[in-house]
Amino acid sequence: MFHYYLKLALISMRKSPILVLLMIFALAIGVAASMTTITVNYLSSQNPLPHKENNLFAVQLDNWVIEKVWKAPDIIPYHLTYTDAKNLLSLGKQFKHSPIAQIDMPLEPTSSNDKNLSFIAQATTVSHDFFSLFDVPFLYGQPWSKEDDKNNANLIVISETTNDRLFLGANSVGKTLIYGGEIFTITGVTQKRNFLPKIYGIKFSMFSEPEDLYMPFNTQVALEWFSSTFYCQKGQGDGYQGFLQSECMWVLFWAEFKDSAEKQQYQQFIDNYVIDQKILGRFPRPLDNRLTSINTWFKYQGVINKDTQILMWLAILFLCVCLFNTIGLMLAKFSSKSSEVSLRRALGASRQNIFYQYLIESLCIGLCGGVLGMLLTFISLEYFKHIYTKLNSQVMTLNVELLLLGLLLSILATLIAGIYPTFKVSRTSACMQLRQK
Amino acid sequence: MLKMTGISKHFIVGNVKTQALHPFNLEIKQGDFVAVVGPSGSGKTTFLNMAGMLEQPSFGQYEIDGIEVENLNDKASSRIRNEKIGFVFQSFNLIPELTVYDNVDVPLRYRRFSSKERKERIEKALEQVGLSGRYKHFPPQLSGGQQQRVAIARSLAGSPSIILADEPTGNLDSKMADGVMTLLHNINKAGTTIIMVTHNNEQAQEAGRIVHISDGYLSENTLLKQVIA
Repeated sequence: MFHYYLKLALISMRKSPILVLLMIFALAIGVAASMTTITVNYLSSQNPLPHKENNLFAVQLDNWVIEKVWKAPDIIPYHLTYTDAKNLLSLGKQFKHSPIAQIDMPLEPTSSNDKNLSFIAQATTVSHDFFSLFDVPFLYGQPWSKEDDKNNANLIVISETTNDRLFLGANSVGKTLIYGGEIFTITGVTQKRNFLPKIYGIKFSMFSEPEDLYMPFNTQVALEWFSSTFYCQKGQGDGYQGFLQSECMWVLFWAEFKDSAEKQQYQQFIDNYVIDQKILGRFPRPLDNRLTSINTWFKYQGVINKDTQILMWLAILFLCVCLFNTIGLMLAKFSSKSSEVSLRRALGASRQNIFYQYLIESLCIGLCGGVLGMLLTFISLEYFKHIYTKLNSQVMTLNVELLLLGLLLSILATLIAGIYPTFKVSRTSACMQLRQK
Repeated sequence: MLKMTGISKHFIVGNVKTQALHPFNLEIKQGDFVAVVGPSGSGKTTFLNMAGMLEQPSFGQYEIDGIEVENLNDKASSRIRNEKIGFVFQSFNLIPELTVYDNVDVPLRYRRFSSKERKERIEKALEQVGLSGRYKHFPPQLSGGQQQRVAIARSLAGSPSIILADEPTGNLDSKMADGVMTLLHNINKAGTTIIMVTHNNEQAQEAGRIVHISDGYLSENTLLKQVIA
């Protein structure tokens, strides 16, 4: 019977094309509006390293002053001081962890002929472990070694984009660049990848463009380069060394554990460390050291903020309005079929037969609305990519999962819209036909 | 084959009760040709609706081939309607978007016949009504008489034991009406019971039995069979 109902649905749709097109457009617009906002929200809140959800953690030590609250009572600082980052690195050599900081300096090729290629490049300063912590893929070469970290070596890893810009995509490993006036040797070129939100970022930096290059954290310190972001509870200290010894927090710190036992060991390690520091007069607040999971980190950083959530609900409300319109149109269409329905009932169709027939017609309309809706979603996402060039285009791309979600949404929407008109038409009296002369 | 005992029908609209058919008994045997006559508004269509199980009687007992049908659920009554009863309407009631073939196919679809059997039945029914060459035509492409013959083919295709015809020649000119009546008589001769509502005295006289309905009272020929409640 399915084929028969499908045939009848297509005949019926052909009979009133304008009404059907109106329904399809109403559904498509509702689906497109909600899918566009859902896509941006969904993709911007996904963990790009889901397999590390239980292994990768941000290390947070509560070194804030006792008199003031840090952002909110249940939140502790995201960054560590240089003293703590340095101590964790030297005392916890058995662990896989890395400091992370940001700097912006001019980058230029060493060849004097190419001076016009120089630009302000954003560098993320890290340790050797960072690359395996965040599964950074390499196009050429490799990261610098742990030994290079110790030696404050002038080595860098550049991004594929930077490599394309400065070396036209050729293998640049072993070549040199001038960054912040210092000569660095390239050890590797990272491959482009979809890595949003940038897990180790904070707030808006989670959606910023990928960094242009990576360099050793220790080299940044040795060169006395200030980070672009820091929070000081008291003074900044005198000079760069004073800054390093101050309680200013500017180093993010991430660690990876093989299992929960190692995580527990690390928790004990940082707790013991802070207890020791308290003896030295530091860490005035009660002991509160956290190993924060990626998803919790996303919540702290407001990866999905309230505005976008409100926007998403508004889009869903808009879909509801479109659904109500579709219900009205479907009622009008199915009502016009009452004489055919009563004829079919007289000829032996049960209410169930009629219900299935019109349900399939509703689903056909829903499927068309869904396909058109997804097409409109794709177009609107492309349009937004061009308008909001500052937003990263990676979060505005439909994947298979979202495509299926969109189709499912439209079919569900049509079922909701179609169920009442379908039920109503299936209750049409069979004897109406005999009365109509 | 069709037995109505103490059947009556009333409609209640708001506080007003309208007695459409007063209680009556009626028995129709296999192969009967029954003409139902009476003035407009007398209850003929209500009678036909109940006979065709399109409406339930308010009171009384109704049997078709020994099956009590007055209290069956929708699925069971739809099945009996589909298998045992064929309908022919005054205004043909063909579905204009479907071809002649697909119109005749409608009741067979609900019978779950195989496509081969449906094809055979459709071809046979269209041949019986003399429209073998019009499979692919759409109803608006046919004359009134041809449309009514398609409707008769549709009612015949499922091999029902009863055909209920509600003024089948009401919308046709006399020549076409004669053709349709000849067709109905031929079908009746083949053993199918026919109950036909008509305003045409000549057509009524050609039937084997005549049932009169007047002001909701049902009587057969001159013999009053009404039962006063």
